[in-house]
Amino acid sequence: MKECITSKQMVALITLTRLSTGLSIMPTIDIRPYNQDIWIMILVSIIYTTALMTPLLFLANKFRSSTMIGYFQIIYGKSIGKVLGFFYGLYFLINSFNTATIQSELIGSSILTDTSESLIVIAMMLTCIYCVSRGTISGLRSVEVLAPVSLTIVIILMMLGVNNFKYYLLLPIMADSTILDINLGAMELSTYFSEVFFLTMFIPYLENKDDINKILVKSAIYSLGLLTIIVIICQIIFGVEYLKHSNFPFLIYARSIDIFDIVERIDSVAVVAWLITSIYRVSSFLLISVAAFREIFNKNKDEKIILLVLGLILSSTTLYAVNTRSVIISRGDILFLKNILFVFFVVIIPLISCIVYFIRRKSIEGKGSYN
Amino acid sequence: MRFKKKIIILNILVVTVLLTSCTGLREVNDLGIVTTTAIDMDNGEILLTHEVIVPESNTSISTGRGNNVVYVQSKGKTVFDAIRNATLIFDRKLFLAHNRIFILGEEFAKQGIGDSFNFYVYDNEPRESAYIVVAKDAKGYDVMGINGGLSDSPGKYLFDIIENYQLNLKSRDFSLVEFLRYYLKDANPVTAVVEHIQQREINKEESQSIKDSLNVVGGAAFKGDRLIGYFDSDEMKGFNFIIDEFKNGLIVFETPDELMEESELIADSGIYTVVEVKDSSTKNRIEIIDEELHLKIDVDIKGVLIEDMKGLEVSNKDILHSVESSCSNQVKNHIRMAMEKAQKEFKTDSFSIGNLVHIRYPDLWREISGDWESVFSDLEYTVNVKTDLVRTGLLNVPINIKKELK
Repeated sequence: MKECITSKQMVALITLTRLSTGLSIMPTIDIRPYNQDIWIMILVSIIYTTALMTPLLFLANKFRSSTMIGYFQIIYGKSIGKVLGFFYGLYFLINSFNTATIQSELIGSSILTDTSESLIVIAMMLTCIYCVSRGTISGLRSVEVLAPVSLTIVIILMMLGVNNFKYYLLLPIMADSTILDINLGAMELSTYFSEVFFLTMFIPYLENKDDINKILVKSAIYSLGLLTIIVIICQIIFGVEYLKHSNFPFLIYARSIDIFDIVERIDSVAVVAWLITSIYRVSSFLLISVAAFREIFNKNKDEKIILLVLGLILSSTTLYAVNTRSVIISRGDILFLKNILFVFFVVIIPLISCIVYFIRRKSIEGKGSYN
Repeated sequence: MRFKKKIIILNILVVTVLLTSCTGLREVNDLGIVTTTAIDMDNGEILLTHEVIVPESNTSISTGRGNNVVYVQSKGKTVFDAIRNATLIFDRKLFLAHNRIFILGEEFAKQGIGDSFNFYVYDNEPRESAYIVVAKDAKGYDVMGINGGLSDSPGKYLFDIIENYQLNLKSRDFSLVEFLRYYLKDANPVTAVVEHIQQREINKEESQSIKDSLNVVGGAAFKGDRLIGYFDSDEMKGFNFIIDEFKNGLIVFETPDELMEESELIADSGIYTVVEVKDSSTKNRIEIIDEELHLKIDVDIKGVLIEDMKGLEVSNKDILHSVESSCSNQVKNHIRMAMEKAQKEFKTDSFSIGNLVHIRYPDLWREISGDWESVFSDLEYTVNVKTDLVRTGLLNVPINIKKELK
């Protein structure tokens, strides 16, 4: 059987993992314009997201048989390429850490309140490390099965909230925000779309490499479209202000569902849907981090030491973080750094790479083995 | 392969441990399951009274009706402090996930409840769907321990009569999540009110001649998080019409004498006619007329003529139209009473009319929102009510008049 992944699987993975933060901390509500027009900002961010990814997409289309770590080595030469690859590997690990800590805090605050944080982290990390050990192809195939489960749960939950809609909470569109607010917010939100790296790291496995652009646009539309609906529903039920006060808005939403005293207290169902998205997010970032380091150290894809080492680093840092602070609260302190890192890794380095590629195009194309 | 197997086995073991709840387990017999909480102030401290269910398996306590709950009182500097202090005198840890009602003592409600309610939102155990009621002229615990109905426990009795509001609309149900919506939006909540009443005991087999009951009637108006007064039952009908929640109540009004002029009455001592509302919808519109804000309240009622005491020839269309008109006038009265109280007595927008201004005139809202309460107090309004009687029950002519066929 051919070892490849389909475009559908890739879209499902990016959509699912992008939804993970929306279903947990919903950072969107803390982004400009901070009011009832957030949904417009989310829709506008589809354009910015696609625009910001242009350099990465260009490179991905040019080097269809390499991961981004591979084509950096082609563009910059082995040494600089490996140094850049190393930093990208670390960046992926940071993303995995970010999700893992939020996941632990949500589980600890919602369904396993009396369970030790350490136990939660260890169980979660073992699961993720196991998922990564199964490899890229297995992981992407399983997405095809579990993404519909998770998305169906989310959609059903959204429908079950209909009788809690409070239309008096609806406020006029664009009455309290400006075009500038919307655009600044959309730009900020687009810096949350780090899932693009799944695409750039899994390109060699893609069955149809002509679909690269389509995959990104589709997954941006699907994930941000769903996020728009989730935000609108939560705002209709809780109002703008109450939503802002909540650490886990979607969980609070699921807690509020009560259909004729029959369907109620189903927040654990929401946690299941969210767990699926989160496990994929943590695992996928760990997987691409492992893949980056394997490529840097010229190891094959069955090599396990790097997975173990990175898994241990991720587990211990996550354990340390969740046992020493509230991750949700501390996120505010590192938000600026996170955005800087995003711009650096998603826009600046790929942009410079494009420029270097154009300068060195003849010598790179002369090698002829990149495409 | 060995690595994979180890990971799988380890994973299964950990997940198995988690799934069987072997960590953080809480047995029912170790918990004090709270169904109702009363919150009061006592010498500057929070006084909590919890109604706790006695599990049926606990044979040391009688489980007969009325005795299947116990009451636990504890004090503390904060709500959580008081909850934990309960374990000093009560042998179970209080479990709040099944708490369905918060009863606020009047004194506590007047002092402001926003600061004290933080715990119930911080913690994941209490449910936001729990109702909030204010104990009128009483401490919260004064209305606990009373079961005037057939419910299993006093808490369940109170819960059930709160939910009965839909049958009369003289009160409302109001949950914690609703309170948060209003409070965080700088709006003014109106919660249900509960009173302790005493009635004559009819059952002569009972030793007491007086029976204790609860009466959930009226609404407690808050300004922000502070109780400022009460709407009575008729005003609450008007309130429910204004906020478009009057879906299934009764409109009781005096039957105009002129309607009976042509009828041959058998009995004529009655006064009232009753319309049961089957559906109603209210559309509130805010407009600027002569540079002044003007509120238009349009109510559309579909109802059933369910009772008349004076003898109405309802098969006569003109009479039926007159009844519709009288019903509409009564609804207008209810609405005016509610508006009057909010504008003149409370000087508080309890109906979220400000939201309408925000929606319709956002620029104007930015100017006046800081002073909205005083603008609201002088707000002009028009009430239009249209009633359609779509049924007259099983009779076309009531039994207290003669039907003459021509």
